[in-house]
Parts: sequence; C-alpha cells; structure tokens
Amino acid sequence: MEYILRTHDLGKSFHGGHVVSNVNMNIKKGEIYGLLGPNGAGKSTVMKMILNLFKPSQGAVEVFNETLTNTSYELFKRMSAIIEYPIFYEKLTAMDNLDLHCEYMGYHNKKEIETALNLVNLKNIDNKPVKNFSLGMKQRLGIARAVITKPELLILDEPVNGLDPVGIIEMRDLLASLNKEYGITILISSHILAEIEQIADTIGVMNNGYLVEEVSMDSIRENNAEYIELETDDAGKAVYIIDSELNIKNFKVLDTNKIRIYESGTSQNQIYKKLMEKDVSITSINTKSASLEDYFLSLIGGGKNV
Amino acid sequence: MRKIFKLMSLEMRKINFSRYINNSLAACFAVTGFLFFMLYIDREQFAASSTDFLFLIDSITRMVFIVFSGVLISKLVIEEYNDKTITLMFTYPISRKKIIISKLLIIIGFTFFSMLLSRIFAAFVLSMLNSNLGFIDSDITIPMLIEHFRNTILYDLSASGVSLVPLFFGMLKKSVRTTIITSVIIAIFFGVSNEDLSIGSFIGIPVTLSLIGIVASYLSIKNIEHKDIS
Repeated sequence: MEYILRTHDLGKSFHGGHVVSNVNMNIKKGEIYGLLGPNGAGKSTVMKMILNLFKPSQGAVEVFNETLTNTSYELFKRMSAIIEYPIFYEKLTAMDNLDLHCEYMGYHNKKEIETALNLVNLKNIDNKPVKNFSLGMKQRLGIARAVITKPELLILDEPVNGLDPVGIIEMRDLLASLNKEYGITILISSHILAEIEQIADTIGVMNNGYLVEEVSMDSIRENNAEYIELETDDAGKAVYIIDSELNIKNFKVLDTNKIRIYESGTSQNQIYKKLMEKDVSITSINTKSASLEDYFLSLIGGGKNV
Repeated sequence: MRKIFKLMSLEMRKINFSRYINNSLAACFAVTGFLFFMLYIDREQFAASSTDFLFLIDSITRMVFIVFSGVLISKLVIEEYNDKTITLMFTYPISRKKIIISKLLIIIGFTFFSMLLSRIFAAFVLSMLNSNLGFIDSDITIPMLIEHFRNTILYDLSASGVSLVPLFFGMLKKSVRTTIITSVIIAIFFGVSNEDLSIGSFIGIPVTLSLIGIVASYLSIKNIEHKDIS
C-alpha cells in the first residue's frame, strides 16, 4: 500500500498542555481521508503540523515518503491547503490573488486560473477586492486557488463552513471529481459527520487530541448495517418466535419491549406477518438505517458536537 | 539572487507599492516647503549659515523617512502576521528567511533612496530659492552641495539600517503601534544626534548604527524556521 502521508506519534503541546498526542495517521495515495472530531479535538493543529506552520513537540510527519523538516520547502510544491478559513490579500482582486499564488508556487500555466474559477462556479467577480466577498464566495475562491496547480495532496480544514446547502453539495461533487479525475489525495476535516461520510474512503476520528479510530468507510458500513426495530407488549414471546420460528440469531433486546434485529436478509414484512400469526401484538416496527452517528458518538465518548 | 528580486517585486505588488512612492514624493515636497518657510520667515532674526542649512535638511528628511520605514515595516511584515496572510506565505515552497529578507531589502532600499533623493531635492530647490530671496547667510554653491552629498551618503545608509530596529520591537507582540512608536523614538534620537554626524566624517558612528539595525533584524528572524505560526 502506498501512503502519501503518515504521521508517527505526532504530538503538540502549548505551554505544557497537550493539544495533540500520539497521532498515527495513514493516508493512502488517491483516497479521500475524512478527519472527524468535535471542535477543539486537535484537527486543525494536526493539519498545521502537516503544513509546517506548527512544529511538532513529538513525533514526525512523513509526506511523499520524506520526513518533514523545518526546511522541506520543496514538498510544498506538491500540496495545497486551506486551514480554518481561506486567507487572501483582501484589498486585491480575486484574479490578483490567484495570480500571486501561481507566482509563489512557481506555476506558470496561468490558463488554469480560468479553469479553476469555472470549476468552483465562481462568477461575477470582476474587479471587486476580495474583502467584498461573502464567506461562501471566499470558500469557493479558496478551493479554486488550492486546485489551480493540481496538487497531489489537498488539505481542507472545514471547507464547507459558510456555504449554502446547494454550495455544500456542489463542493462535495467537486471534491469527488477532483479525486477521481486528477487523482488528488484529499485530507478533509469536519465536525459534521454527514458532510464527509458520503465522500470519504477512510475516516479518522479525533477526540481530545487523540486519534481514537482510523477506519475505512467500507468496513464501517459493513459493521453498521441496517436493523429492524420493533416494539411489542410481549417481548418474551416475540423473542422466542424470532429465534426459533424465524431462525434469526442476530438480535438484541433493548428494554422490556424493544427488540433490534441486525441479521441481514430479513424483511420487516416477514417478521410482522409471523408475529401477527402468533398473536403477538406489535406497537411499532420499522427499519432503521445504520446510525453512523451513534457509532461515532460512542467513539468520542458521548460528545455532542459530532 | 534573481529569486530575491522576484520575491521583492511580488511583495511590492501585494501592497500596491506605487502608493508608497507617491506618499514619499509628497513627504519630500512637504519637507522642502516646510524648510523654506522656516528659513524664510526667520531670516531677519536668524540667518542660517550654510552648515545650519544642510544640517536642517539632513536631519529632518532622515527623521521623516525613518518614521516612513516604520510604516513600511508595519505594512510588509507586521500586518502579514495580523492578517494571517503570513500563514499563506509560509505554506509556499519558498524559504521563510528569503521571504522576510526580500521584505527587509525593500524597506532598506526604499528608505535609503527616499532619504538621499529627498535631501538632494530639498538642497537644490532651497539653494535655488536662496539665490533669489537670500535667506541663508553665506553662499551655497553646487560643487559645495555635491561635496556634501558625497560625504554624507553613508549616513543615509546607516539611517536606513537603523530604521530596521523597530522591526525587532514590533515583532515581539506583532504590534503596528509598537513599530511606529519605536520608529518615532529612533527618528527623534537620530535627529538630535545628527549634529555631530553631519559635520564629522567619523566612520564609526554610521557603521555602529547600521550594525544595530542589522543585529535587530537578524534577531527578529533568526528563529523564523522553527517558530509556530498561528
């Protein structure tokens, strides 16, 4: 497996307080890696260490198979980033900002500026200075700037802040297509699960400065399949029927009258019919989609921000 | 070296440098006008000698442009930190030291040329006016002025060097106010102590002053590659 970025026991403390500890992140080439965690979990700090803006207190960052040092400037030709919120020279126009970016990156194919602006669907920017842009427009401009040079690694910290619902969907599609068409590896952070679960290939969950889980979305989906939840007055009898008559073994009795059936390939109808047949009264029955949210909440110990 | 020039030109583009050139032209005219009225109005009570005349021009222009360089330091360095645009600059594949050095070269170069050219402009305009209106005690000749500028050009360089000292204090708390206040204090100090400088040709003082500037800027950037940028 080829990794584009790995961190080894990465840690950062400020004035003795640990903000990030023992983070071992593994980002594969070509994937979208979602870094999930509540506000203050240390996501931005990790990203800043990857960008050399913060210097690790312990451990190291390895990017493109090279260990990041204070003077690894050449590596930054191959990545782009937006940290916290997109930063521009506010008095200059969007075009000036993008042009300067190309100059500093040593990228001379200026035609790509136009392409990038179209890609993020940013129109009517004319000669307005960036300070007159809305946050949503700045986010789009920031993404445009980050992708002009077609970096190998794109680092985005909460990129959908300030976007409207349509913008969020557009952004998601854009990231997916950048990933597919150009093979750009993307590290994206968010405190909202729904934002990244649809596009991420791997998810890292951070809490209190620790990376508490790093897991592929595929295996999450597998382990958190749909289940059927039914409520009945007579749980004992229902369990008996489910177990012996329907031959379903993978279920759980939640409290005195609630049963969850996890076994795949069972239909709600079939259970309903059988129980009615045996005269077990059912107050409610429905299929619930896998609650990824529950899963992540359990990982971060009941945090409220995910 | 080419890279540094490239970086300097990009820096100038970012802050719309032509504005600063216009402002320094305005300052140059203002200084000349101010000196003219001062010398002309007082001509009855106090007719300046040619030494006084040159001393006034030199110290006032240097004071003005030392403060001016404080403004440039604030704009080019301190405000990049306050606006967080420095986090953008420091994620480019360019050495942090080179970025800062290109900024400092702009400040030193601009301050040096502004001082020198303003002094020359003021001296020639005022001596021309003097030949018609006669507010200076003795005659001022062109060869005399040329001789004077040849002897004092080094002091412009030292003043530009010392004008970097506010960078050190401004960087401590990333404060524009501290930067400007330090440059005003240095300007006053420099203006007052200038009396000895403009007549003497003692090499030690200008060299020491520019050394202070160089050491101060070295101290403010020496750890730049190890620092956290938030």
